Amino acid sequence: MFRELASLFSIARESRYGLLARIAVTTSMTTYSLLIVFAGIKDMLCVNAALAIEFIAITAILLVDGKLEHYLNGLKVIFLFVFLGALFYAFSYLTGIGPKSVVQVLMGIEKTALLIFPLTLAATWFTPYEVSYVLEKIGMRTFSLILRSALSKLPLLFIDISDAAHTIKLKYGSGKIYKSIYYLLLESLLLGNAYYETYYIYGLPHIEVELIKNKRQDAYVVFLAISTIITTYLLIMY
Amino acid sequence: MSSESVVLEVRNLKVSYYVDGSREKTILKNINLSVRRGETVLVIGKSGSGKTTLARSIIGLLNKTQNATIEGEVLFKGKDIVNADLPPEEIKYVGQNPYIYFVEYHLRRDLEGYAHRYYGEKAKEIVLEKSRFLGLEHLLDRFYYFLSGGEARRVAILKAIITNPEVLILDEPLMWVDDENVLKIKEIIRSLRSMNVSVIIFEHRFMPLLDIVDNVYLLKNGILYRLDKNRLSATQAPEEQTRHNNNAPSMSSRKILSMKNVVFSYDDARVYEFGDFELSEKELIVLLGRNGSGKSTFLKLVSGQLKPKSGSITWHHRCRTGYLPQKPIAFFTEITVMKEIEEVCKQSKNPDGCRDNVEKALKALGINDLERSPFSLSWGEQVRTALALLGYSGVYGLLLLDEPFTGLDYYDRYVITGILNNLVACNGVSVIVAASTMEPLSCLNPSHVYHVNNGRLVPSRDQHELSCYKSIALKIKDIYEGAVPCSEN
Repeated sequence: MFRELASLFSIARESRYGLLARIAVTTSMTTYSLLIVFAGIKDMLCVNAALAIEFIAITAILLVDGKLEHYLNGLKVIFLFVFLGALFYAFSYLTGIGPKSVVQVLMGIEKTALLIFPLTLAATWFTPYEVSYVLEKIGMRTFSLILRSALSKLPLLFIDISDAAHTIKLKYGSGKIYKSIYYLLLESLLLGNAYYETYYIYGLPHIEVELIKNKRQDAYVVFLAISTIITTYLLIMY
Repeated sequence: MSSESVVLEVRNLKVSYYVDGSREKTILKNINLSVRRGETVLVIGKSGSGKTTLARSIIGLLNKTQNATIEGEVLFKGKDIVNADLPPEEIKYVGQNPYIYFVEYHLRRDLEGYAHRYYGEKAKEIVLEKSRFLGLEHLLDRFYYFLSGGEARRVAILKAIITNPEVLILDEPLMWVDDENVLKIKEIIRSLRSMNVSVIIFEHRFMPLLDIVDNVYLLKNGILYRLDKNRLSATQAPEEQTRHNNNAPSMSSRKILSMKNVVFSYDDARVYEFGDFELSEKELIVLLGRNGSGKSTFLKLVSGQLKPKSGSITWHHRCRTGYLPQKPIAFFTEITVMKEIEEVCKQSKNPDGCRDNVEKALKALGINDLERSPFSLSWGEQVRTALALLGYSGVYGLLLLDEPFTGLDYYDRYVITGILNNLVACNGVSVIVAASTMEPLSCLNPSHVYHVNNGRLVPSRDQHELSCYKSIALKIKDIYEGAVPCSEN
C-alpha cells in the first residue's frame, strides 16, 4: 500500500492550462463553495443544484485537461471519510444528541462535499513544485523550503516503509509490523541528513513554471472563473 | 609528480568521532593523498575501514553532518577546504545512495533547475548536451524514485558533472549496479578522464575498475597505503573452475509451490509475464537479471506482498517464508543482536536449540559481540547476521534474498555463497536469490538459474563454467587483514 502511495506523487502528465488559469479556477470554485455554505441557504433543492453545478463544472474542465481519473481517485479516499462522518451524523441523530432532522444531516453532508470538491481539485491540479513556486512568490520562502525538503524524500520514505513492513510481516507475522519502528526512525533521520547533503552539495534547483500556456484558452478559463464568483454572489444577494 | 598538476591534496588528515557521548574513536589516523589533474584513483578497504569517512571528509560533509573532529588539511588548488562553509563547485561527490541527490521528482526539472543557477537560460541546452554525452537522454522524463539502482547512479553522476567539476568523488559507484551498467559506468569514468577530470573512487567491487584506474590505495587501520595495481590484477587469473550443471532436485523432493502463467503489472507500461515456475524443497534458485528486470517483483509475488493480475500461485506445502530486502538493515527490529535471536527463536518449536544454532552460526561467521546493535553492524555483517537468523533458526523453510551480494567485498561475498550452499545442502532450506551480477553466481551451487529479462522468466540452459573467486576472496582478505603489504603513501 505504501509503495502505491509513493506512486501518487507521480503526476505524470502536465496540465494543459497555465498556473494562473488553474489558480483562478480553484479560487473561484472555493469561493463559490464558501458563498453557498455560509449564505445560510435552507432550501435543499438549491444546495443540490449548487453541488451538481460544481461537480459538472470540475468534471468538464478536468475531462478536457485529461486529469479526471486522478481527481476521481482522490475523491474516493476523501469520500470514505465523508461516509464515516455521515455514519456519526446518523448515529447522533438516532441517539437524539445531534441534528434534529434527516434533511439537516443530508444538508450537512452536501455542504461538506461542496467544500471537498475544490480542495480535491487543488490537490489534483497543483504539484508540490508549483505550490513551492507560489509560496516563494508570495514571500514565504522559508515555508516553501520546508515544503520542498519534506516532500522531496517522501516517496523514498514510503518505499522504505513498504519494504520494512513486508520484511517484518514475514519475519514475525502480521501482528508485529510495529517492530519496524527503530529502522524507520533511523531511516527518517538518515533521509533528513541526506536532504542536508543534497542541499550542501547542489543547493536547491531553480523553480520555473508556466504561468500562461495557451493565451486564448487560459483567458477563457480565467473569464469563466471570475464570472462564476460574480454570478454566485449576485444570485445569493438578490 | 609535478606539484603544479596536483589538484587535490590531503595532508595528515585525522578524523575522530565521539562514541557514547564522550569516548573518542579515531577512524582516520594520518591520511596523505595527492591527486593529479585527470588522474583516476581507486581506494579499497574492508567494510568499516573508513572509506566513506574519508570521502565525506574531503568534500567537507563530515564535520557538518556528524559529530566528528577533523585535523589536517584538504587542499584544493592549494586552498584549504576542510572547514569551508560550502564545498568548491569544482569538487562533486556522489555517495552510496544515489537517490538522495534529487530534490524534484521529475528528473528534467531537477537537473534543469540546478543548471539554471549556473547557466541561466542556457540550462536546458546544457542538460541535454551532458545527458547525450553520458547517453542518459531517455531517462530525463522519469521520476527519480522509479529509477533502477544503476540508472539512478548514472543520473546522479550526470547531475555532478553539469558544472564541469575538476574533481569527482564516487563512493561505491558499482553498488546495486548490474553487469551491463558496470560497463556503462566505466565508460562514463573513461569519458571524464578524457575531459581531464580527476576521479577518486571508493569501491568494494573493484575488479572491473582495475583497467581504468591509474593508482590504487588501500585504507587500513586509518592509514592509506599505495598498492601495486599489478598485485591485484594478478588475483584475477582463474585458479579454480566450478561447473554448475543446474542440478535438479532428486525426485523425492517435495514440491513447495508452483506458478502458472503469472502476469503482474504496476501500470500499463510495466507488464511482467513471468509464466511458469516451480520450487521444490532443498532447492537453490538464482534469478539473474538487470536492474529493473523484475527480480524483486517476482520475490514479492512469491512472498505474497503482490498479487498477480492473472495466473495462479499454488502452495503445495506451506512453509514460513523469510525475506532479506535489498537494504539488509530493514530486516532488524531489536536493540541488540541477542534480542534479535530471542525474538526469532520465540517462534521456534525448540527455542533453546534455535538459540544455540543461531549463536554457533554467528560465531562461525565472525559475529562475536551479540550485545552490539544490529543497526551499527557493517553492511556485510548485517547480511551475515540476517542469514544466520533466517537460515539456522529452523523457523523459516523458504528464504527470499533480494540482492544479498551487493555492497559486500569479495571475501564477504564468498562467505555468503558458502552459507547459502550449506543452508540448502545441510539444513534443508529452500532459497531463491535475486542477483544482478554473474560474479557471486560462480561460487554458488544452484539447482536452477533463471534469467529475468524484461519481466520474463527464462530457465537457463547454459552450463555455467565460471571461475569461483575463492582465491581472489582469500587473497583480498589477506590484503585487508594481513600484515601491511605496501608502503605508506
